[in-house]
Amino acid sequence: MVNLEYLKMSPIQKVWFRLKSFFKRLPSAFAAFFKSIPKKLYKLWLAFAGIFVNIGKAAKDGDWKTRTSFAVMGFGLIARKQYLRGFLYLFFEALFILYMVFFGWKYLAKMGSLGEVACVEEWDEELGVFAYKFYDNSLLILLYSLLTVFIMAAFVYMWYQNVKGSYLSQQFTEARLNLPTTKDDIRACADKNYHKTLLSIPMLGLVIFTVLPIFFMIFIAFTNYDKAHMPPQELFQWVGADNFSNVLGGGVSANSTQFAFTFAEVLLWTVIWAFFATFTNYIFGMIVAILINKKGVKFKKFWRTVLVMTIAVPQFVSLMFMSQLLADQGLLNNLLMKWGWIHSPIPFLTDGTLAKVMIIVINMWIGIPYTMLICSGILMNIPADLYESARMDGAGPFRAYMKITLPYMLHVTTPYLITQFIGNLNNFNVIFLLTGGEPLSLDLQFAGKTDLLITWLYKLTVNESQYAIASVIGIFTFIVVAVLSLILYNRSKSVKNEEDFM
Amino acid sequence: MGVKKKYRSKKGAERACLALIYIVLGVISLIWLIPFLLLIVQSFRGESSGMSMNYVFPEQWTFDNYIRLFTETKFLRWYGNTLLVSVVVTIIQTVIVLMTSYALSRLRFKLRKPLMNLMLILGMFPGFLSMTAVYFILKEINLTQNLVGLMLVYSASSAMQYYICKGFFDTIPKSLDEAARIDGASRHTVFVKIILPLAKPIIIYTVLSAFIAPWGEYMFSSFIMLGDSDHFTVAVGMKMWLEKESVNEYFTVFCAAAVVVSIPITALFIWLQRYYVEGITGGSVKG
Amino acid sequence: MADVSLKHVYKVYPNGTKAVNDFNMEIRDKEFIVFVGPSGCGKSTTLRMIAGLEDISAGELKIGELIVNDMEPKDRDIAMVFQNYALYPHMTVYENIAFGLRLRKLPKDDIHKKVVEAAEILGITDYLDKKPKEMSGGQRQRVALGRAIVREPKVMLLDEPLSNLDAKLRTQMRAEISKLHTKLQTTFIYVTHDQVEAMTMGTRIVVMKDGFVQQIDTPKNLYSYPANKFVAGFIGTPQMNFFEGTLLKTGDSVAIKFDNSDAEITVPYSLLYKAKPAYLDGKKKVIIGLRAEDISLAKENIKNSKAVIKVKISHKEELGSETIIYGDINMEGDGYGESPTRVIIKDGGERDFSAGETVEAALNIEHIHLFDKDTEQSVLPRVPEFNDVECEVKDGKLSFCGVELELPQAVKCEDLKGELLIPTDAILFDGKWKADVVSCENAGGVNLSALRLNGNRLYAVSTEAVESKSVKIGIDFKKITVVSEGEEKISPMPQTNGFPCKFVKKKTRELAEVNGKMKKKKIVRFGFEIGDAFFETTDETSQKIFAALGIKKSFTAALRMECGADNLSVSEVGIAAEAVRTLDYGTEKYLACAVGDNTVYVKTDKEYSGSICLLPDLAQVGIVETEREIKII
Repeated sequence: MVNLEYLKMSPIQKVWFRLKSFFKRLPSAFAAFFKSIPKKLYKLWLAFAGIFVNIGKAAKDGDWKTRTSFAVMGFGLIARKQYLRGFLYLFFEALFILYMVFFGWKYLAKMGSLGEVACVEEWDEELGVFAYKFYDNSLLILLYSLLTVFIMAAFVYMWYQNVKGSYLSQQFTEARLNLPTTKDDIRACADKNYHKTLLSIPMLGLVIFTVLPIFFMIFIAFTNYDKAHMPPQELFQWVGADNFSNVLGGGVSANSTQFAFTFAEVLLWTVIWAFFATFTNYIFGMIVAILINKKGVKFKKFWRTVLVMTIAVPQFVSLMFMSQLLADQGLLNNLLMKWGWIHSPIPFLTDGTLAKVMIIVINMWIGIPYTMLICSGILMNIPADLYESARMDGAGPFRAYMKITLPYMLHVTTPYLITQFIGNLNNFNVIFLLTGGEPLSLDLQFAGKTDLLITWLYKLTVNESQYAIASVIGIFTFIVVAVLSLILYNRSKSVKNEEDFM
Repeated sequence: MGVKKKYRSKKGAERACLALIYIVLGVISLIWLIPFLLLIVQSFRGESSGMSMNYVFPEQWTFDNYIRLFTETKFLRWYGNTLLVSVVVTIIQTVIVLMTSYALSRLRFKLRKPLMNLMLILGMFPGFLSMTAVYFILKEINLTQNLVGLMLVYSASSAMQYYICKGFFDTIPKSLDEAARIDGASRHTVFVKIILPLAKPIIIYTVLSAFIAPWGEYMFSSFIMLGDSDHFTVAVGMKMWLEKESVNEYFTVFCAAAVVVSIPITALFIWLQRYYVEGITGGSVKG
Repeated sequence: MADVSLKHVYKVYPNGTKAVNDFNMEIRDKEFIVFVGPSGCGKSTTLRMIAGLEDISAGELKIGELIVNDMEPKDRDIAMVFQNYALYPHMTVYENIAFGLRLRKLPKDDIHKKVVEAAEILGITDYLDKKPKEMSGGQRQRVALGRAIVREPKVMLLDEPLSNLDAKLRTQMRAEISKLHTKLQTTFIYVTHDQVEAMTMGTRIVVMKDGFVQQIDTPKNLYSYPANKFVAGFIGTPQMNFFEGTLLKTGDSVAIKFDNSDAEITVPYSLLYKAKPAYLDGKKKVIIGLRAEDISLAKENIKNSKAVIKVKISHKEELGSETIIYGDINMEGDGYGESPTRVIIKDGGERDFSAGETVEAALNIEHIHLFDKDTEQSVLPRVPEFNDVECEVKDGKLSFCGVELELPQAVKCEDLKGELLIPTDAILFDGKWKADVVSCENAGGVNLSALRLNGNRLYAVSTEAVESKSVKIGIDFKKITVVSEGEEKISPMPQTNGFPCKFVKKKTRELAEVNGKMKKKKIVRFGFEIGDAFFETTDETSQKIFAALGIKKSFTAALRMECGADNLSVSEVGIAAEAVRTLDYGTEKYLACAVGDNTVYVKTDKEYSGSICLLPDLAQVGIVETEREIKII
């Protein structure tokens, strides 16, 4: 159904209409979401139950080879001459047992308490002096017990796969179908199972260096890991959700309300920053690209190269140089004073508000060339006949820009725009290297006026060792970023559907 | 007559418009270039007083800063560190990104969508917070204050950079894969013999971005190399020069170092910029 | 150089849509098969399933002697040409053609020889060192063809290879592909949406729509005997004219009345013998199809024709060699849009016509096509299903067409007057009444004979051609229907019985000889379980089920065993059933028995009562997966 009324509306009406219908749809969308929960739960339950059904079947119907695989992983496969996979399972099981016995277990056992004794002064026989001897390190206990849980989960998964595989190969044998041989298995690695070959190493890296640390961080948020509880000298303990209530202002700790205030303040600035940083770059970058690519402009390559140089010069160089240039005693202020334009230095980076503006301006200086480069690429791809037909319809350059260039660019660059926005929410370099979050403020807890969530986090951990609080803030940051990007992604989907240029 | 007049005036307006554009572009170029020119000029300044002078051109032109850079400081070492890390990370990251992108773009398996969603969500966590855990993991395998550790950190999560590369792969017609598979190629052969040769722009893009990243990265390297100046990367080392207590002494050296760091990367970038743009905008491959 | 056989092939997507439904076809070696149909009809999907680029949801696909369902494309020995050529852009033409051979690790010299040879056949020798992007569309398609033929595949698959070319080039390439087919002597399967391509190139054409095969036949037969309105409209240009109307049979003539128009014509019944009798009542709506060339405005045709209607001319299209005239049989109609009164006429005769003029047009009724308005199936089929005659039952005797015969016990009924429906395959050539053979034609695999029995027309199908002038016929009572006063008095016996069943695995320990010693050995058997009965299957059957459903789903899926009455027998063991009554058809006896809530029929020669067991002939049964209604065997 075409909404003819909608087509007639002016742009403002359209936006209003869309907003209205969005909010109108909201309750039903929520209702649908909640209605779908039981169904989804049921589906999940089915999938979950399916696992046990499969195991049960394998136990009941399996022959002795399959049943032996319950204890000796891979046995069923080896017995049916699928050596490669069989031995891999067996190897994995051996490795797992060794790991658990010699490493995993002792950490996992202490996960509940996070350690009993941190360090004791003991008599060292060899040196003949009293020396500190370290026992339990809460941090390592938490980290390694998490690692162990991960490995156990992997083991359970592998075990299940092994049972399933053994049973399947039993069924294959019984059905007198040809079992894949080791050679087939190897060949499948380059063909049918190529995704496993390709993704196993990247995913392993991702799990160890991203997923595990994120879980670690989440768990830290429920402990009292801070300056006063620094392993290995001290232990830290589980404290439940205390840190969350502290950050949200309802906590018992003295500076709780201040934390909440700081969080709100920093969050607000982070969102404002991300918005302006993204859109100023985008719009001005596009304008520069259009200027350079305009028909008749010569030395296109020269203009482009001039700007591209800024991308190529490492960001930290230009940022640090800028911070020096704009400092209160920096070259710019000195020059201006020498020429008598000003009498006292302009606090470019030392006045809260001015610093914020300057950061966005300098970010433009850094980001525009990048956007320009991308936009030029896309501009060259806009089909010329679109412009020609617009000219035939009597559109001037401005209208052509509004009706063709901008929608087209938005259409093509939405994903880029979203990644830029998310990237800016977590943009460490620009703030840290330019102002370091300064100027400081007495109202804010360990944060300066230009600190983003991410730089505040950096300070909380590196300078203040407030690990637990930092983790809580990290989780909140995640929630903010996730919510914003989900909204943007959904929005971009609708943009795509409406303005299809392809 | 009227038509001719109109034609002429239109041409005049166009000329004025062009002139305006040239002026704007000129101003923009100046704004963008002046800081860099300033940087270069400062690197030849003889008198050391940080940046708190009130004149642009140095009173004393000298090469001393460059000589100091390579003789007095550990810059050469940092440079080597960064270069080594960059090269290794570039290789690992490019391979991982290409593998992940191909799998997610071309292969169909049950966990494809969940995996893409997972990586999207992981990307939203502030990467820095996981540093503590990463630090202790690295410590356990004795890789803190160590370049290998830094390489691991930089390249371990490369899979998450798949987005742009996958987008490029998606533009390569699927029928090419199918034709090759009918011709007798396995999925691996398709990847190596068909997709990779067509993915030159995106490979260059990935190489370039991977290569540049370690030069400007400060957060992770400062944390992992905490206090061990032998293993600093240029970013960490040069930042140290600009601390309040050393800025006066080292500012001009910093400028010289900045020039030395920038030149090769800039050259590389200008040389490969065509592919860079093609890669990111998905220059379409036609079968 | 191989046969291709598709049996009950389905493509079902995860969301439940069926892209291809029960595709059955035997493609013989060296055939040129064209799949044609509008976009989204499943033709490309079918081709891609044959190529191995798409999984087969169910069914069996054989290339040569091999079942290739789960085989990778590269192992199927096929080659494919794509719509967008799919040439490797980074390779030269030479490398493109040689790619497949290099992957197969042929010696370099052989590769060179073959590539050059293929290039010569296609006339692209001069371009061998060029990259695809330096070439025109036609040249690229030649390269794509070269890449396909150089491997000497068993089957060549072509997926709309010409649709990216301009009209002139398309005609030229069409001829070249045909030439290539003659030269290569291999099986070609060609997908197109263009019926002209299909008609000109195919030895047989498969017309598809919405995932269903509409008709498989030679181009000529498709044109002359379309099985339904879709095929009729799809094949031939300009499109066939479709009118709505009714047929009324009175005596020896049939009145055809056109809806929304005054037009009405009367034709002798002899032209519509094959028409399904139910449609001749003057009420049931039919669609009347006439091709543009079967409507004429020429004077002498009108003079000689008995079927003349009035047409208002609306406009015409001048094509040079011929003129297409558009009009309407409804005097208020405009003849532009497609409507059930619009008429397109090819033969304008000598005269020139002007718009708005009302003229007479002669219809060539011998080429009329009739379709049901709702089902769109032909009601004037090439092979009629039924003979419909008047009949009378009196004292247990059935009389029709001037013959009288004793009704057997199974179909006894009270006295009545009514209609007798004899399926064409229920007329047996071993009876006692003499009938004249008017004609006998081979129509799509069966032989259709038109018989005259005491002046009445009857159609009969047989597997062998009838050559004699007259035959002795009888009827098969199992298949006849007698209808009187709207009620079915005698019903045919159902052709198939369905038993819900499961595929199961049974493990037993049995004594078996192992290395010369008798030992207890575990034996695994597969079979169908119906109630308590278990029927062991052959390995071949179980593998078919595994192939169709996967090893896990085979044991959980609900299945139905379909089994004709002739393939069931009463036995000591088997499906538990309750004998209800015996049906005696004279020469044969059948037993109706109850299995659960269903009634099934079994061929028998004895009388039974009480509990019995039924044994199906496993070699003859069909197996259907009930959830998706997919035929497995």
